[in-house]
Amino acid sequence: MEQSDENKLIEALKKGSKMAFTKLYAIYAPRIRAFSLRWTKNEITAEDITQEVFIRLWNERENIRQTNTVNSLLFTIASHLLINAFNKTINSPVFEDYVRYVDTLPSSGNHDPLEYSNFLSSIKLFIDRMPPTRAKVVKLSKLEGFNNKEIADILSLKEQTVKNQLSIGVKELRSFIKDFLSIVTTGVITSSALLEFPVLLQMYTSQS
Amino acid sequence: MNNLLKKYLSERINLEELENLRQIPEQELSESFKKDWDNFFTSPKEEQKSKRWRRVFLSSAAVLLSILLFSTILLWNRTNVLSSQDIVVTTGGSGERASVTLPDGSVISLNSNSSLSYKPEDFTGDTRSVTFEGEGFFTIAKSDSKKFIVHTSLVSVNVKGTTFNLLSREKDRAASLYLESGNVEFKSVASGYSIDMKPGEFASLDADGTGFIREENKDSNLITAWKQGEFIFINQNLKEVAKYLEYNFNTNIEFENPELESIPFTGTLPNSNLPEAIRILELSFGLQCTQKENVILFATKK
Repeated sequence: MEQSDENKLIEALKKGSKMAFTKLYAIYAPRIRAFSLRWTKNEITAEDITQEVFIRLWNERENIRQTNTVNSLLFTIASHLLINAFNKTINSPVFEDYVRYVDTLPSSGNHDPLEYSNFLSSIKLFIDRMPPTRAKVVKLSKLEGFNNKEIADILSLKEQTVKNQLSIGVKELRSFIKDFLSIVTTGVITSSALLEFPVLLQMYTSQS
Repeated sequence: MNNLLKKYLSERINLEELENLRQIPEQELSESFKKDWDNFFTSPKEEQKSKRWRRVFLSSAAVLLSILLFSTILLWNRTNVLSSQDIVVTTGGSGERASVTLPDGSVISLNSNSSLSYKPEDFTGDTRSVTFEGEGFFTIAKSDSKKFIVHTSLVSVNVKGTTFNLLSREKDRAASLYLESGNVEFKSVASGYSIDMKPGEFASLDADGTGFIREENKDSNLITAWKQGEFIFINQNLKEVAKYLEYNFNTNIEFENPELESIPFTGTLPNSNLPEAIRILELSFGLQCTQKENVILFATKK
């Protein structure tokens, strides 16, 4: 992009131009989204971060000090959000399960760096097919990281109920993960195939 | 970058390494983010700055060289010999773009894998001329007396004051021009045949390379979308889409079966993120794209 272009966009943005904001969004949103996806391995989080970065850019538009480019500014805003999101991913039980099972499988050549992201989406789909209470319990525990007592409070259930549901749900989940990952890494069906063809997923779950 | 972080990114991390990764200090993490961001995405600004420095350096080197040469030869032969170097600006793949300002104030925006060269002395006479390959958006400063000529291997473009988008890719034997304002004479190098174009017109070199096919009412936003950082495709078959990706990202794409090539695609692909572009295509067509060495293979999901 020509030098005067981004200068002018920033100037206009500071004065409240929505057109300038939209153009900057078009230019920078894809790279922020891609960068966030790369580090968080979670599409929804990546999208949230992208939106949040631009919301902040708009809210702080009058105070922008950069004149030539907003590249660094956008990165700085994203960076704080990314640190939190990154930590959430590496501490999440689902990611740990993923790592644990990938570890046990023979390493294959074609390793997609975003397989976890696909995997996560498939997990969510799988959980959604569980009976409603079990699904909520498993999500709160595995995806959000709450402990049993907290889950019992949130859902107004007895703690023992939470324990039982979690135990069944986790067993199903573990079995799904194992089969899913072995299918994925031997290339019979890909993770994105399972994503896009809910019919396949349904067939799979009705079999087990 | 920290080895653990690399393993995390490529999903080759084991449990023990993951536990270590959880201990990483925030400082180290944000520094790694910064380095990674800078590697992935050069601001078009910074790119341009470094190219401008290179040009300033080159042209001052050229001036110095020519002065030295001049004085040396003068001392030796008392002959007037002045040599000057071509100024060359080249963009690489991976969404790289650059902007060049010529001595007469004309500005050329280069898309990826393009190159522009000129001799400063070519701007002093009554013709201004540059040599070009690739794709660029030209804003040519008006001059009543001086013609401006763009030379490529396939076509030449003769203008007065005007803005246009020119594509000339030798490898593909493809050249096309979209005229935004002003008027141009668009000429085939192979045949010498030329056409005069009016604003809003779009013309492309025919299959022979000797004549032109004209089109009106081409949406200028589509043609110059590359300047915004995204490609817009409307009903382009995958073969064409793949060609664009190959140029832009310096990669090679092959199709497992030829039927895939003619599937039409309508949509937008990012200009500077190949994995994302591939994913969009995968999702749109139920494809499975795998990469071996420098070749990406497009196949239907099995």
